Amino acid sequence: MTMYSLPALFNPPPADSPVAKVPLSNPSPPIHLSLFRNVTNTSEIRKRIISGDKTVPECALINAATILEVFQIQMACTKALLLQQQNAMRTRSLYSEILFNLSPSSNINDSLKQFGVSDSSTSLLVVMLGPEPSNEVKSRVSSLIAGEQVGLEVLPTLTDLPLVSKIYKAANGPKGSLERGQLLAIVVGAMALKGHT
Amino acid sequence: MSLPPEAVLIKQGAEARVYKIPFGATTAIVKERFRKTYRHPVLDEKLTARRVIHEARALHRLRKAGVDTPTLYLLDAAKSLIYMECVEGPTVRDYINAGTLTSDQETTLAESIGKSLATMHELDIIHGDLTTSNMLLREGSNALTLIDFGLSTVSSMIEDKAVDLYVLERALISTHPNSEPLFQLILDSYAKHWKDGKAVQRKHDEVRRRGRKRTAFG
Repeated sequence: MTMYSLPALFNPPPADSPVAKVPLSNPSPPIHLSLFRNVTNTSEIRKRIISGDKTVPECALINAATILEVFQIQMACTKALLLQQQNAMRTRSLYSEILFNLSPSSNINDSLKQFGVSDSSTSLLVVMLGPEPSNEVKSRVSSLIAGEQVGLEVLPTLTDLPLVSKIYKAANGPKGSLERGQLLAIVVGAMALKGHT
Repeated sequence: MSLPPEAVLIKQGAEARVYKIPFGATTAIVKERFRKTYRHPVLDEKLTARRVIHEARALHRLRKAGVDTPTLYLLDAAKSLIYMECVEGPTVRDYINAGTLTSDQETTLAESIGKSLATMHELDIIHGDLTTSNMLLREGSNALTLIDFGLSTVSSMIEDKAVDLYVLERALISTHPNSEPLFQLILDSYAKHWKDGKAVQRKHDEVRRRGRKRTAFG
């Protein structure tokens, strides 16, 4: 698993005593990611999750084809933590909220279907929040997923760019297809605005 | 050694405070719309929340249309915060004031300003505070980046678009001596880049004669 940190959030100082420097007090917990490709048992995994199988470790399982960069995941997690703090989560758990936040749609069911494990997904990204998972949890992850575990640097090669453009309605760009960085900006912006339009 | 994480206030206006904060591996800008104690609290909360979302939406719509703006990272409506990308690069104001602009560079600059404003107005977004300080030249790509949509509105009226241009004209003339030719180049580029450009340009002539405010009577 590879660890990534999440940005610390900002809390505005009281209106009557604004200051030039505001410490960012609460560091967010880190996230741990694992990537699997050529996964063959997605329908089994999906069934086990739906049936509430207790041997499935607590994590977010994401269809890696929908992800451009880790930054996208970091933003979804940061937003989930922020909403949890404010008691404004729309789904039942932090992990489903992460999946939901990836989507520009406010339909929970569609979002989970599109970004979670589906029968058609072949590569999966595992996201865990908090301290480094124990070896026991890690082995449960690798026994759950029948696929080849690869480093996170492989992630960009697994992205389904036309799918991402379609989901985030970014196809109507100035020149048809967009450069990856531009697409990421649209994706992250759409995620941030979700629910506010 | 890394510095302790803290937000540094970089700008304070009448409506908002702007901070620069470390944001994971990168740096972000946080814009806080603070409460107005002179307003009724309930009204204030509603207005502020609406304006925060409005501003974020303008940033995002422009980005989608291919106008460079800071990338929207995160929205905290409860605390009236917008987290966005920290765009590095000089303001157009500093770029002009450096005084080293060749006439070719000036033409390129005017061309890109005109084009960005045309696309923005085509989306019916009125910036509301067009100045050369609210335009950056992004480091690396040199793309013209529009910032600060805190006063932006949505309107399809030619009048509002013409006034938007007029505000820029006044700002340009008052901050940069002898910039009339530059503004003319911007207008030409603007008119060229969208179908209603000419109509806005004509309206702009009218606004220029009478000033920003329309006469309320007769």
